[in-house]
Amino acid sequence: MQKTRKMILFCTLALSMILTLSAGHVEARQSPTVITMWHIAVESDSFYSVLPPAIERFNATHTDVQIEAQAIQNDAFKTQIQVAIAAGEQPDIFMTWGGGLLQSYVEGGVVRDIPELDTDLGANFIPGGFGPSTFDGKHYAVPANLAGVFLYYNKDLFEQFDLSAPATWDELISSCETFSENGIIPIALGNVNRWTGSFWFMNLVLRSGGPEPFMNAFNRVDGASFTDPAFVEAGTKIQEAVEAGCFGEGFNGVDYPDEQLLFGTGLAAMELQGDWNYAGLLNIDEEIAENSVDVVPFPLLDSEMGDPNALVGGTGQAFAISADAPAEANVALIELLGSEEFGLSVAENGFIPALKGFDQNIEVPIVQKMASLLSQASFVQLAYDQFLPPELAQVHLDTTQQLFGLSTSPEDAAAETEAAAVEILGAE
Amino acid sequence: MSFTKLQGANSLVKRFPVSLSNPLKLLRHLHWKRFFRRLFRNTLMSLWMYPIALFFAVIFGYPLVWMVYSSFKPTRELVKNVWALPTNISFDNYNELIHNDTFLNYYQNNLIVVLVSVPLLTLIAAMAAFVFARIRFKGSTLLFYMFLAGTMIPVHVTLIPLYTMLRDLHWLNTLTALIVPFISFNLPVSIFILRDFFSKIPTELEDAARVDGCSSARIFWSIMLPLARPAIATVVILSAVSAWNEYLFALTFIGANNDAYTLPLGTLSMVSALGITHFDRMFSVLTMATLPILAFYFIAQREIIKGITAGAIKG
Amino acid sequence: MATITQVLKDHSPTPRFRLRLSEPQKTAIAFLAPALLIFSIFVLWPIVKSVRYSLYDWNGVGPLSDFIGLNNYEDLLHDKVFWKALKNNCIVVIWSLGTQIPLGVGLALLLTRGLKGSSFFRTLYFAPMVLSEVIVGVIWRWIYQPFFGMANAALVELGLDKQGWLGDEKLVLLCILVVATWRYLGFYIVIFIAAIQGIPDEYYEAASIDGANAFQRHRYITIPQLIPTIRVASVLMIVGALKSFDLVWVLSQGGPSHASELVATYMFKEAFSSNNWGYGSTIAFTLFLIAFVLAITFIFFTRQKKDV
Repeated sequence: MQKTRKMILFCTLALSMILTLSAGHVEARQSPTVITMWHIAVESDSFYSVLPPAIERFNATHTDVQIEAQAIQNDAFKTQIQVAIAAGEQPDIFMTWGGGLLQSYVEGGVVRDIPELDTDLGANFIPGGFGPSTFDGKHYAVPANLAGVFLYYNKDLFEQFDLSAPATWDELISSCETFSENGIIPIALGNVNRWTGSFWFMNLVLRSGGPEPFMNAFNRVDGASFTDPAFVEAGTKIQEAVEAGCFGEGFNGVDYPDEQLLFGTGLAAMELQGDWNYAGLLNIDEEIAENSVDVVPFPLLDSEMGDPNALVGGTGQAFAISADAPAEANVALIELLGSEEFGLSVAENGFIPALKGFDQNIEVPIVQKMASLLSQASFVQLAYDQFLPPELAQVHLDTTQQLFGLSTSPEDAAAETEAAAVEILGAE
Repeated sequence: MSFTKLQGANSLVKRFPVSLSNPLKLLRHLHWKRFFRRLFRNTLMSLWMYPIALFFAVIFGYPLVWMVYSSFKPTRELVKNVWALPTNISFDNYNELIHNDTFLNYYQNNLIVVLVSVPLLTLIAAMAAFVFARIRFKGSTLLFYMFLAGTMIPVHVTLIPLYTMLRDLHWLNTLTALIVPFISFNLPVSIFILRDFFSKIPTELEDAARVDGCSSARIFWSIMLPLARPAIATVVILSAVSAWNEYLFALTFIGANNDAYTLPLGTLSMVSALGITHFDRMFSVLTMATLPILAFYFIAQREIIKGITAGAIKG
Repeated sequence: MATITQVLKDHSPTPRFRLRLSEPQKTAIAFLAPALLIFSIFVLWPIVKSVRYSLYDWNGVGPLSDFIGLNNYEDLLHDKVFWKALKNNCIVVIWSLGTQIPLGVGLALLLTRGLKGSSFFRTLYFAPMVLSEVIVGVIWRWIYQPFFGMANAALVELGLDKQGWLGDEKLVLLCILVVATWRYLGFYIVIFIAAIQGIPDEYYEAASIDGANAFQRHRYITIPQLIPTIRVASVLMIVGALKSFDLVWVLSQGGPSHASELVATYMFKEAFSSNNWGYGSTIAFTLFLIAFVLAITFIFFTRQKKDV
């Protein structure tokens, strides 16, 4: 019996050992208000040189408020923030892309609005940056940078075959044909992630029907639906490009880092990506990135039709504030992301600032070009997968991947999306 | 003891009908013709057997060899020709990695998880296994079958509720969130292996001990445990390997805390980060992450193979 | 030895009965408690909880309030993706049975014929087993990479057309199964080697004397003697198929277009990407039911065998 007792004692000890092990991670709150923050700028991320130093600067200059940041790798972040919110354990400040997901948090009372942005404190921000995170006229996130999607192309490869940057869809297809005949991958696409292919779909919808089809279908007004001809046309064009061999074989099984690698090493001639992509290209091969890479807006379907100044983009990263965060969080976040130093650091690291007056600080010519295209934009289409409610976003991403895989027809894909929309958004 | 030896000798005698005790007799007895025929057949046999064995050796071994030598290639060489050997060997990537605190932290976390969960698991399982093997009571079979069914439960089933429970316990994003569920899910298989072994230990020793007035606890601690050393080794190896490689719990329960990442999660986060900045580091990360377990395997391969297969068969 | 039990019987007929009831039983309770406690809290209770979640329409944000009864289960019956995932799980089982058993037995036979270096080959074949599935997945993703991967480079060397591998809806599951076989085959080889070595030599000698050739010896001795092991291996493959997640998650995330979706990956995506936590729990519990039925069947059969 004594032995038994000893055993039980031992087990208790062992268990308490793990308990203390876990307790070690919980730090006692000290006198300054601690604000917890989750972002995705891990060491291997290109935003790493922007955000963590800014937080360090913030903490060094503030004594009453301290930000305790946690970097989480992008894919893990999406899952983690989801579960944390479900558990009511979200950090005080967390990264968001705005749109439908943020809206569901607004409706669930998870996040609170940031009225300070309408005061002088928020005067520095470019108003367009609030777009994806403004609901019912209230701002729910502070943007860190803006983003736009452009067609990257390799000047050297285009010159080699006497081609010029494609301005229309037909030019794009014909240059693709030239490249594949010569053993070069025309367009790099890593569509395992699905949002990469969605860029093509959104741009094509924008070029064929302008901004209205999507907005109306989403708002369920004017008899609009996701079966609008613009969506079908986008699907048709995608399949046309796939059949012309524009993306090579197997792109549905390639992931985004590999897509970047294909274009960054000069194996592929084009890539449709956001401005953030450029930082990665620089890391893959600085020489190619600096000397051979250029960007143009997405080609027009027809030189007579469509507005070349409408583009896909919006906020890059933005940050929302948990409803139960300390009161200081609002001002702290605006100070963190609205400071002059922050805008400068964003610009110098090759991103597009969400603050006014930093365009000239962007030293990288290509990023400067993208920033000016973005500021001249007549319309900025937010990414569907961020804009739509998560469930519908998944349907959109799935059907688009199927379009690329030629395993569904443009009509069926549109019908499937519409059916899901009726279920999730309701009939008109 | 002597009995088994005798048996061994017996089977030898059977295999060679000619007595081994007299080598001369053996020589005389050899049919030379048959000997050559056999030799010929054996070489012929190995002629077709070796290519097959080697073919599979390449299939199983080459990806690993390839991973190691690719780690010395810069990105440019990597995409130009995947097969090619590196043109010059540079340890820069490795040098960076072993000085990379984040990466070292993954290692440390993995070690903590293994070192805490394996002994605890083994002890708890051994105690339960002992009861199932030696002490009869009402409902013991039912309880045992409950654990048996436990080996078949896919972990994913419990992921969502487990998450909310771990949150309530404030264990999320700490290593405890890996250790405790890991122990729970590996209890069934460990209990089987140990119960199986315990029930094969002859009862005489135990009976004698009981006569001497030993309690069941004492019998467990001083007689059964030392005797069950081989089975314990099996459980330790089996659970250590699976704790080292665990991914799903890590992905779900500690994903939000980079400081608590274990190697599988950390490796994946390093090689697939958005806007990845060090592509050529990928293979050195993979190599570094596999090296310890491969080294451990090649050193103790006999025990490990035994451990892993025994675990599965009994489970 | 016999004397001790004799002594025991002679000396303490009643106390022995008492002893059985009291002391060992207390020990039994104390010894079982930790295992039972942990197992109930972290395995059984979550299963009960997931049943509860499965009855709600819950997106993971806010309280659990939208009770919808069995609606989720009804949806599941009409969910094409779920059936596809289930079908894929079955394909995984069939593939495992169809390739790993013949290959495993074949290579085990090869390695038990006194080939020089057998143990080296065995060690090598088994090596992938100790690697994490995540790392195995990352390595193979590079092999399958359509533009600069090894698989396509090999096809080009042979003068064949390049393939899309993981990006091809028709090939992706096969690609993943090849990786799974690569990782697990060594394990089955070792199991079969152990079984073959356990077959008494006398059987073969007797057969040789009867003039059986090599093929006949295997056909009539080895294979029948391996049946119990093959049965065990089959159970392991079925259970393994239900549990598989890591490899698919790393290689294809179930895509493209659900072509390599398994029940486990689908559940994970529904809960964690689409925020359908209620529905995710429904899939999870259904997965449990399937596993449970299989487990009961398995226990039933093994038990019956023992009774006979």
